[in-house]
Formats: sequence, structure tokens, C-alpha cells
Amino acid sequence: MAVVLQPPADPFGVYSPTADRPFDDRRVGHLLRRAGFGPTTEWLKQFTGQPPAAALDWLFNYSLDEDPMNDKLEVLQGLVTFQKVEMLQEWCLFRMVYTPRPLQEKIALFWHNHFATSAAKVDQTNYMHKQMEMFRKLGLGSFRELLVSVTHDQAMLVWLDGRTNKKGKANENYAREIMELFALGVGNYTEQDVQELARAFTGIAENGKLIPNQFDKGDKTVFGKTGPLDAEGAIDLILSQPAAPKHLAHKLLKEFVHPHPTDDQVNHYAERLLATKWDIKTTLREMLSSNLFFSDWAYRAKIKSPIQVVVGATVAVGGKANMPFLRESTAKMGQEILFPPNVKGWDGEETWINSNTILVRFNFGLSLSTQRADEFVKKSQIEKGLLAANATTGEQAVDYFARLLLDGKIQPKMKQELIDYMKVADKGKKVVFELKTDKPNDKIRGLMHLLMSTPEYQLA
Amino acid sequence: MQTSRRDVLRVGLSGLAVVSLGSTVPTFLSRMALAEQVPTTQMSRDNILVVVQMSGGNDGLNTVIPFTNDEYYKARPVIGIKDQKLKLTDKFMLNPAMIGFKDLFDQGQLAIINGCGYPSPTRSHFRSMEIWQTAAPEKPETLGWLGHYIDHALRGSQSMLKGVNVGQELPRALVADSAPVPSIQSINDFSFKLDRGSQFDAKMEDQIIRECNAVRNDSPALEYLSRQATNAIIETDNIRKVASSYKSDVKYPRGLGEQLRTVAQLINGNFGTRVFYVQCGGFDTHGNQFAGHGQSLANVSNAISAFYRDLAEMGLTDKVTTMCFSEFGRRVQQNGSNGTDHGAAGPMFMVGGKVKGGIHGEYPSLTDLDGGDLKYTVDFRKVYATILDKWLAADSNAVLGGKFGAIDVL
Repeated sequence: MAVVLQPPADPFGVYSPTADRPFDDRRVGHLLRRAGFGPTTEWLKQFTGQPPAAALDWLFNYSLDEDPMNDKLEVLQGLVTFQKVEMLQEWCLFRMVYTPRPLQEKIALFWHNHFATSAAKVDQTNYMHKQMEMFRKLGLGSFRELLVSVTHDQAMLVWLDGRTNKKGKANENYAREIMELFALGVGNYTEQDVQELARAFTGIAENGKLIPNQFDKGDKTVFGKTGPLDAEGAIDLILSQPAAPKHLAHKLLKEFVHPHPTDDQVNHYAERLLATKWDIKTTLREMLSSNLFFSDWAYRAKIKSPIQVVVGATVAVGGKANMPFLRESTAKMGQEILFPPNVKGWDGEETWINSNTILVRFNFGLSLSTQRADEFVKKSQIEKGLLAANATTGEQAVDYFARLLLDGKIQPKMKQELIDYMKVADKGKKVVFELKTDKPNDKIRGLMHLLMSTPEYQLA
Repeated sequence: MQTSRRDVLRVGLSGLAVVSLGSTVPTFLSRMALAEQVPTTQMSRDNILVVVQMSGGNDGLNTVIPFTNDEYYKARPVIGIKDQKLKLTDKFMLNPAMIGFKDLFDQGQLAIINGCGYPSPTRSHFRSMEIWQTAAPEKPETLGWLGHYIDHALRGSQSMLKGVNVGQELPRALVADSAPVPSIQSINDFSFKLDRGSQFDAKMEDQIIRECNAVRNDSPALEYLSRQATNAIIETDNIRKVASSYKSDVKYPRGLGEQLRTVAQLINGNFGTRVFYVQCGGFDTHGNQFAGHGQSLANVSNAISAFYRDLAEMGLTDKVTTMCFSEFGRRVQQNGSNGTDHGAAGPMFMVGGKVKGGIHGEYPSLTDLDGGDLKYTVDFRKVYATILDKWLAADSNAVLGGKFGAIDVL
């Protein structure tokens, strides 16, 4: 049987580095993978050995006033017209690859999966764009504010038919899913509650504005309480249910810490959500600062999503990727952004992996590293990184990639085989490997492909 | 150090041997060691089941339409279908988009089972789908009903591909205890590619990837990943050898059609697969369902009729039965948006040369309703039991954990 770890003692205490639990490549890599898409050589250098608060400040304290991506996006004017949904998908991936604020994009992706809206039904690309912008803007704000915004969001009004939900002609779709999936979970409401709640959400037009004569002003009885509930009142009533903070705490723990959080953990962060009046930023920062988060129990406990694999690898080797290639790769692995499979979102974890998608992951590593097609705009990025880090011998190259892609945590036997691999040239001739120029080098590319084809690499 | 492929397999074996894989180990190991020699085309042809999941909750009333029933048109003044192009009997007709199904019906190869459902139905997509996939309405189960079938009935089978999901995400229905069921999107993508730029490197890379993915148990996640990878590498070795022989002139429609084409390719390859699973969507018709629903039904009906034309050319119509289901039907009364909300009972379909074509099961009453929804007349597990007992030569009692009787469709 597999070795099963237990959660740490003092799980909710603030992690503070010690000699046997240092803030090293492993813990910095862990934080950057969970709060973003993974490390770069520069970020590892910047944060290892420093107080964890420095990395957390950098991740959490961003201003919403300006968009650091504006300069870069200007280059892509042609791309940002969003004539086709593919362009918007590529815009999302582009942001993840180039952003200096990985958590902003990561939390937006989290909410995209939580309020899983699909462009398959919402065929106005600008609605999908606005929704993603909303997640980027409100992602670390108040969950109540987010729910109110989502309820009036154009893409959502199309996706779950809120736009057709009118007085006397109720449509239950949104009312059901806000309780079942967005805020409470199944078993915490009755069919009667769904039907009554639907009436509270009546009259919201496709533009998000209330049309008073289509709103059902009559009394509704939800959770045994009766009154002339409107949309905001309904959201407050939902959030007052004991199941609500637990539902969100569970979801946050699952995404950021461990696929199977314990009841104690859920209850603790549920209380924190209530105590902070549903403030995501404070609660999530506490979660990502805890002993729990930095424990062996949480390390490599999750399976990377396809977006995490694709964006993370691209970020690690200096970006400059061909966006359609990244989009197609995530789709083949089972996560086509803006097209979640249904309103529950992607189930994640084990469901990412089957005999097909594991091969697609390996093959992606091959395409990205060998660049036989037009996967990269610039072809020499990878070797430049190695030269800049003075990683020119076979052994140094193995260490360089092991650190960047696997936090340096690689099985000794595997490491030896990779070092041997670097020593063999065409037709089996033994050579001493040395990287001399920044031209694409077959051995370097092969090495990267091999490290991306390990089971460890699939873990987040 | 030059390593032959046989050596690679041996290394893989030693990695495997330390891990407990339960009852699958001997089969798995022997298959693996023999992977280069076993002529996979020499397996005998057993009966095959193809499951088509229609996700979203198919509106059964607008699929098999009781066109003489006034209650139907009363409940659905706008979306009630009047076009009687595809009459089946003097009481029922198919949705006019289902031309392919009408042909199959006329050939006696389509069975419609009306009123399928289960006690105390839930209107949640996810819970209801889980119930259909696990055949367990009472409480959540981890393993799927077809997973149980694979665990119980196919224990001795030598096939590495006892069940195959064609699509991205493995459905709960195929979650088995004994071994992971593979998901294959297309035969083309189902391969393990190496850098052809350098022949020698490619060999070494092949070896290293196989070794580092040999099954290990450092953590549950690593064990899971390495098992999947090891299986995938062996499966792709086998499939590549055989699947290239498939040629067909039958034109399949896109989407579900392409998935069924992959099923046909795998059936042609004869890997001993007994169960295939495919999914299609578009049935959650809350609004303006008139056009969209017809399109989704046409998709299913055209894809399955193309599949049976292909099977006929292979001479395998009598060896393959296809079963279609959806997680629930929809509300009898249309809603305010010219659509329908989540409901309860709905029809199932079975297609194949050995199916007893025609209409089975009592059509639910349109007036004796449960909260506006149709009451089921056939427990869907009775249909599963029939398939297990009469088609797959299994013991439905053991697989489903109870006796559900049989329906006269096979």
C-alpha cells in the first residue's frame, strides 16, 4: 500500500522557517505552484532563504488600479479583438504566462472553475471576457460581493438562464445551482427552496439590470423564512446558512492545500470566513501561511491541472510560447479554458489522468522542449536560461532542470540515469557534455522532456 | 549501454513486483511480458456493449412523442411537437430530427424502453448521473456499475482493454477496483512519442520514461500516476500494432460520430473489449429548446445509425448492442422560457441486431404526476440487469447487488 501521511501538529499556526523546515526551493516551489503556476529560476532566487512573508506580500498585495499587462497586451492588438472565442482563450493563457502577479490569474481561474460558465452556450465572447475580468478584479475580495456580481453577470445570465427568469414564468436553473454548487452543496435545501428562491432572482435582464415589472414582489418562503425576498436578500439568506462557509472553505482547501481536507480544517477556515465577513484575501493568506500548507502532508498532494502543466512549463523556461499551441495542448489534456464540461466545473485531481491524458502530457513535454513545429516564437530561450545560470556540464544541466521543474526533489536513481544520458551521444558514443552556445541543443531538450515525463512532474 | 526492448520490459516488471495490485497482477504481468508476441487478433468475438450517455437530462416527452395525447399539447402549447413525419405506431412518434433512429426502428433494430427511472428521483444533474452510473440510488458509491461488471465478470479475461472510455474524462460508471479503465480520445493521439531527430536518444528516452513510470508507492498520488502511465504505455504498444488495419467508407457525423468511429476502430482491432462508453451533451434544455434539442437528438440518431452501417460492413451488427440513457427526463409543463426544467423518468434506447425492436415499457401518465414530473414505470436497473444477464453473460445479482428482473428486449 502507498505511504499515507497525516496532517501536521499545530496546523493553523503560522509557518516559520527552521533548520529542518527551511524556506528552500521545495517550499518556495510549493507556494509558487499553488498560488500561481510554478517557479522561475529568478523567483526561486528572489524568495528562497527570505522570510515567507516577502513572497506572500508579493503574491497577495497587488493594486487593482493598473493592469501590469497593458504594455504586453498592446503588442497583441490583433489578438485582443476577441472576434473568436479562441482569441479570448489565448488571452487568458497569455496573461497566466506573462503576468507578474500569478495569484491574480490563479484565483481568476479558481472562480472560473467554481462558477463554471461555458462559452459553448454563452456565444457572446465579450460576455465571457467581462466575466473573466470580474474574477480577476473581485477574486480576492468579498465572497458576498462576488456572488452579487455573478448573479448579475451577463455570461451567467445566459449560461444558467437567469435572463429568462420572470415573474409568473420562473426558470429554476440559477436558483438550483447557486445552492447546489456555488454556495451550499447538495442536501442543504429542498426542492421547495429551489422553486421559491427562483422567484427572488426574477426580473434580471440580460444586461444585468432589474426590470421592476418582471420581478416577483410576492412573499417567498426559503429555508422556512417568509418575506418579499429580492436577489441580494436571497444571497444574504443563503450566506446565513451554516453550510455556506463550510462549502467555500472546503473548496479553497481543496484547490490550494489538499484534495481531501479534514473536517477540522474545513471548520477552522469556515470560521475565518465568517469572522472576516467573507474576505477571501485574508482567509486565503492565512491558509497559505500556515504550517498545514507547508507540511509534508500538503506537498505534492495534488495533481496538476492541464493549465498548470502547460503554463507552468512555459513560465519555467522563459515563456515566448505560441499561444494556439498552448491552448490546443490544454484542451487535449482535458481542460479547455472557457469550456468547462458542465456547471460543476472540472472535477480535477485523479480525473485529469487517464491512459490517454498521461500520454498527452508526456507528448506535450516533447513538443515544448524539441520545438520541431512552431511551438515557440523564439527558439533559444531554454539554452539561454542554462547559460545564465552557468549550468553547462551534463550534471549541472540535470541539477538546473531538477530544481526548476521538480524543486530539486528527484529520485537518486533517476538522477544518475539522467547524468548517464547526458554522457552518450549519437550511435552510443561516450562524450563529455558541455553547453557552449544558446542554439537549441538536442541533449538539453531531451533532458527537459524526460523530467516532464516523470510522475513527480504531474504533481502540484 | 545499449538496452533491448525486452530488457526494458524486465526492468518495468521488477518495479511492478513490489507493489500490491491485487488480483490483476498475474494477468497484467503476463500480458506485459508477452506484449511483443501475443497476436491480439486471435481473440474470440464476445458480445459487446456500447453505452451512449446523453448528458444534461433529455426531454423524453419531445423524443418519443405521444402525439394523440391532448395532455401533451396542453402542457406544451409552444414547444409541443406537431410534425408527424416519424410515426412509429398509432400512438407514438419520434422527434422529427431522428431520421437515423426511424430507419433502425423500421429494421427492427431499435428498442425504445419508456418510463425509465428510479425511486425518489433527484433533480440534481450530478447526483442523478452518479445514480445512473453506479446503479445505487440509495447512497453514493465509488465504483461504477460497469466497473463492478469488469471486476466480477471479467476477472479471468486476458484483455488489457476490458472496458474503454472514448473521451476525455473517465465516467464513474467505468471506475473499477481491479485496474484503471483507459480513456482514449482518438487512436492517433493515443501514442507515446519520442524525438525522431536522434535515433539513439529516442531509445534511451523510451527506456528512461518506462522506468521512471514503473509502478511505485511513495504516495497515493504517485502510485495512481505511475499505474496509469505504465498501463498507458503497454496499451499504446498493443493498439498501435492492430488499429491501423481499420478502413471504412462510412461517413460519420462530427462529435459523437467521431467517438463512435473510434469505437468501431477498436472493435475491428478485437482487443477483447466488452464495454465501450461515449458521451454527448446538449440536453439541458432550459430555454428555447425547439431548435437545440432537435439538433442534439439528430446528433445521437445520425451517429448511431452510421455506426451500425459500419458494423454491418464488418459483419458485426449481431455482436454489438448499444444502450442510450440520460440522467433524467424533464418537467411535463414547459417553463416560461420555452424550455423545460429538470424532471424525472424518461426513455432509454437499445440498438443492435439482437435487440427485440419495438416499444417496451409503459408510457408514464401525463396526469398522474410527481411534483409535475413523470413517474417511472421501469426501474433502470431492470434494463441493466437484462443486459448483464442476457447479453454480457454476467450475474446481474452479483454486479448490481440485487435482483431487478428482466425486460424482454434481448
